[in-house]
Amino acid sequence: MGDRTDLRNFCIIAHIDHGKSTLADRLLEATGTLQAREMQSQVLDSMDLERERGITIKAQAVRLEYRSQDGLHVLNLIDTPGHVDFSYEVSRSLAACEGALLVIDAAQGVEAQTLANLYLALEHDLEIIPVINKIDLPQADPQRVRAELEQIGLDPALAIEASAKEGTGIGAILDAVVERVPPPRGDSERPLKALIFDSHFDAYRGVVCHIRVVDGRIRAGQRIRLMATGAAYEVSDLGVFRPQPTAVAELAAGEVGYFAAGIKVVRDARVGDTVTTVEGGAQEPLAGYRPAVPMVFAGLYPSEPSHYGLLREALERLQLNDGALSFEPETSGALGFGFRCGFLGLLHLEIVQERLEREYDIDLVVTAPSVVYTIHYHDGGVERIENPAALDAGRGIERVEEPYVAATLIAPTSFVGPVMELCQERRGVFRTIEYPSPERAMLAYELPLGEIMYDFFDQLKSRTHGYASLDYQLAGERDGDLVRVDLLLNGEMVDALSFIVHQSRAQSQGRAVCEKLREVIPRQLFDVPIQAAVGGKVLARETIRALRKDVLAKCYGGDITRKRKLLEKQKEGKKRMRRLGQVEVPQEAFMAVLRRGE
Amino acid sequence: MSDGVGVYLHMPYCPYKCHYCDFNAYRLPPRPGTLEAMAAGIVEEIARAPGDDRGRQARSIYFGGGTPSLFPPRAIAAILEALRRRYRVVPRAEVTLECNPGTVDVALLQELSRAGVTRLSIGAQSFDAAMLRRLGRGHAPEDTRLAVRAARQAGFDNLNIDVIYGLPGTTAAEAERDAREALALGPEHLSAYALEVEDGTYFGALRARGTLPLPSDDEVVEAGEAVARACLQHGLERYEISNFARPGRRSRHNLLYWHQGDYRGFGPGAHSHMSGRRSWNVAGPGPYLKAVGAQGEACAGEETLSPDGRRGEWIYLRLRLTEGFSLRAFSLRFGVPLDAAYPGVRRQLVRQGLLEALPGRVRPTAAGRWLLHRVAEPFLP
Repeated sequence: MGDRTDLRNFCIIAHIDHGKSTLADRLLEATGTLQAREMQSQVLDSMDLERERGITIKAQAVRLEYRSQDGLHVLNLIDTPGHVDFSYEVSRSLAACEGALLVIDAAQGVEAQTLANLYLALEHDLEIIPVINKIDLPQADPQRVRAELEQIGLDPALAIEASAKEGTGIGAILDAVVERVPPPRGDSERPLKALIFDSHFDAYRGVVCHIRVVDGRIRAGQRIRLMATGAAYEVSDLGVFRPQPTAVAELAAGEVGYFAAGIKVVRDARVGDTVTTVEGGAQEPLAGYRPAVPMVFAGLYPSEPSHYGLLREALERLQLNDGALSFEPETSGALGFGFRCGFLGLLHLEIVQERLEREYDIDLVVTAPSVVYTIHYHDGGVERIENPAALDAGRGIERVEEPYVAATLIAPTSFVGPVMELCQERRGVFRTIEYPSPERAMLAYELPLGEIMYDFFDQLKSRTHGYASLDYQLAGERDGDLVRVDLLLNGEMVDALSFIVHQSRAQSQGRAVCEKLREVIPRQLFDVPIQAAVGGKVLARETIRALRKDVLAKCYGGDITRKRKLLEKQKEGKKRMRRLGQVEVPQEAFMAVLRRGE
Repeated sequence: MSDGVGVYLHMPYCPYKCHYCDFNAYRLPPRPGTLEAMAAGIVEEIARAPGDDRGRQARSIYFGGGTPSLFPPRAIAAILEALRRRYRVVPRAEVTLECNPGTVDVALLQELSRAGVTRLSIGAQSFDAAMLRRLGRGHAPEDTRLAVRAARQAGFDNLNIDVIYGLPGTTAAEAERDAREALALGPEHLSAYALEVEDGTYFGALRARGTLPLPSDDEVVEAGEAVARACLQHGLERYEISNFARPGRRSRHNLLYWHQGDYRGFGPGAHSHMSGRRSWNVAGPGPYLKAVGAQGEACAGEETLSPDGRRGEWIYLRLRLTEGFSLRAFSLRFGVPLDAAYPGVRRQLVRQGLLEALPGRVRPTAAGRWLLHRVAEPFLP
């Protein structure tokens, strides 16, 4: 037993939209951490983007004080990101806890992320408290959810029924946290070991690290060392979130809080790293640290070439707060100067893109994302490429390796057929099928990451009427019979449009991209051929017919204004186009490769 | 242009709404007195609306709509009377009134002629009975022929016929046939407009549902050229992208628009232009009448063009004309040679085959006429 029997560290895990954020709000309210009138809806999701998208991107931690029958308890609620792109971050947040509320929508039941999160939580030996949420919904079926809980190895009798929206069951949840989540183990007298489970950049204090102290004590003014990077700092601020940052003199074993130490970039205080003291520090770091590895790469180019410097500055700024974002200068024949950026996944890419456009007001051209391929050349050379254009076909390729994921798909049994069909189309390797409940099937597949990056999730949703869910994690690399498809516009190759695909699908996907380009590229004054080719051999061809007519026939009752405005709008639209040779191409053309699903 | 001014009168009611129509036109409500009340409102606006156009010379007057021929001739006479009090209407002013086949007879047209109307514009649109039904027009081809005959009997020697080409399911052959039917009636002027389908119309809804078989742009251009050839054979010259006339019979009022001249609009939603200031009235008949009753005018908005904007618009409008404009006219008007104001632009457009390579004159080529937005774009601010 540790020093602090009044402490409980717990998190909330859930499938997206099962009501995690609303439940967190209610817990804050019920413990008086925030008055109802102070609540901005869903306090824990503090970025605008998070609130709009209803997902939690960055983890947060809040200290709650709760008086139960046994006295006053301090509860640390550690929020976790809710998207598969951020599964490593989830695992570090879980490592900072002893218990987890597993929130399940009373109408939807167990979903893929429910399971993925549950398994992660069980790996970290957390006490699981199932919460059946949204019992106020007319379609709620708590009995069915209890049956599913039993199927996945949880005791249905221990599940708490709640409606975060209406505030029912909140007291029972808080009591369960106190009674069932064990107090933290750990010894304050041993050398300091604190886990960084999140960090963010603060303009005044530098990087603020969110930590869970496992052993020892951390104090303001102390000299500390980050064990993965080896860098030493002096703690300038130490505190807890209530949820406003509140300074404290010391955090001891079991406690959760934050510190700042003049660290300049989030990258230097990596999630999962161990904090110890410079004097008499720990010998071994905590287990489980992994450097952030970008899985998806895309070219980001400023629409306005003169904004290149601005884009670099913005990316540097974003990187202060985003340790997983990487970027390197890149040049494209079609797009000029830009950056090849690495992301954890597509959502991460979209978030970065939106922040660049929204917060930094930079208009971007984003090329279709690509995974990392390992190319083995006949001359014995091996290269890892993040950009399809970098593949040197002339050098003689022996083989290409591509990343795979282990995916879990859950769907109603009636949709097993369509799900398997989709996985097969995407070159999936079937592993297992299980039935957590009579009406639901859980399929395990190994799939190439490049195949699920694009519209896989959309396809899955549409083929199962929205009922299927997906979770995955990286599972190594494998050889693939892959080729690069090049796109030629008016006879000129556009490097930013090249993509790598399985041999068997080169032609159909090349045709799909040609068709898409024909739709999005406006007609020019001359015919523009679009071709898709592999190694100089043309696989598909489309033609954008020359523009013949754009004049408006009539000027109605002297309304010149409307006509001129139309024309001005057209001209404005053209300014946002890229000129490739003689052809004017809108930005969305570069994303055409994304929508190549046949 | 001279110090003359054109007058546009918007007569917003129709007996029915055509399927392609997105004009500011309303089905005539069955309430008696609606037309009289509207005419009285327009008379009041003419009498009371402020503006330094008062006392200027009016050289053209145009009753558009809607269906102006629905209005009783005495209402038209009262409006013309009001205009004569506001302006110095020149003795040989062009006074056009739009009418729809099936709404006119000889007696009515004689009354309009006595009231001062000198020119009629007859909305034929098509001479195919099935197509007229498909367009939602409430008349047959024969009504158009009767209307033209009635107009001649009533003494009108200046007639325009409107036709539309690029109609659903048609080719250049149908367009040419319609044009020839119209030309066979011997009009002095023909307006041929390519169908434009707008959102918010019945046709717009059909298009959205994918059930409107519109011809391609290429086919529309072919149809337009077929109409132009037919006109030329009948001695009507194309002087604007959509307008054809016998020598000396070009529409003075339409030319005013393309010459960026001054015109004043009265009635719901009517537009005005006075030396670079464009303004427009409240569109709805009810709100219009209320505004006129309360303030004597119904202005809903206005914009004043920047010098650059005005210059670009002048070029854009002139380029709609077959003759284009002379470099001299441009530099006289704007105090700067065209090639100095837009370095390299003319040369580029000539190279692209959109402008004729002529000394001293800027004129769209046959291809450029259909790509006017492309041609005009570099001249806009």
